[in-house]
Amino acid sequence: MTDSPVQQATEAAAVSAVSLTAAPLDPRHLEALVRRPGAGALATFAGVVRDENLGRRVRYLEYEGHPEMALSAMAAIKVEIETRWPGARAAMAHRLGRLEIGDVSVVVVVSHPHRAEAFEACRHGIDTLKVTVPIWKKEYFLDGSHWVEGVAPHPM
Amino acid sequence: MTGPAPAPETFAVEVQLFAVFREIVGAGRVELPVRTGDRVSDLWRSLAAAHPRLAAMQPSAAVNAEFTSREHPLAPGDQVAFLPPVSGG
Repeated sequence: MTDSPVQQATEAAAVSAVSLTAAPLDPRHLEALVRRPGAGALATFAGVVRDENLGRRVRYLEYEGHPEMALSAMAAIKVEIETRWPGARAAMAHRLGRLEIGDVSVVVVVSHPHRAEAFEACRHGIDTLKVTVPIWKKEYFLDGSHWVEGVAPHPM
Repeated sequence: MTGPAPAPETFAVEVQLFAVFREIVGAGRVELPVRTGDRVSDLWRSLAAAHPRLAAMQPSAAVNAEFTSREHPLAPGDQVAFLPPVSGG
């Protein structure tokens, strides 16, 4: 007996609604996890590696994470979104390793019956991810490199 | 043979270091000796004493992959992680 597409999508969401990967990210794959007939709005945020920061030319980036804690912090964001915006379904993925200019580093998707909530929840998702998820970014310039100054998620 | 054996006076804990902390220490994983009663803050202090560039930094600490406070008492077998301010996205 073959599972219906809906069952397959539900199972996929259960295992990979939050993920870390060294492979290129495709926002369409994440969108497929949250799309459903009752959701008239689908908001997707994709973070893309930019060629400059604070006036310095960036050659490429490297991302590092604490895998277990990053996944758990991302799962907490998903739960928070789905609790705070009833009817929302969220998924997110972050890429690790070396990324080139133009590569997608992070994707957050939220589906909801209506667009206002989808936009708001998606914005909340990426904003929260940036200050709570144990992932670090190192910028490589023409003349050196440095770890980007961030936010302490749980200061000692 | 009554009651549990007393805790040893010193034991080792595994410390994981990430990003700029990993580069300063020169390793992503070190074993450090601690004394019974030592807290997370004692472990950070001894690490910063050995690697002075850490002293100016603002760590978040986790024990066994859960964020915790500086007062958290360490136990044998604990896996401690010191995390720099995060900058994903």
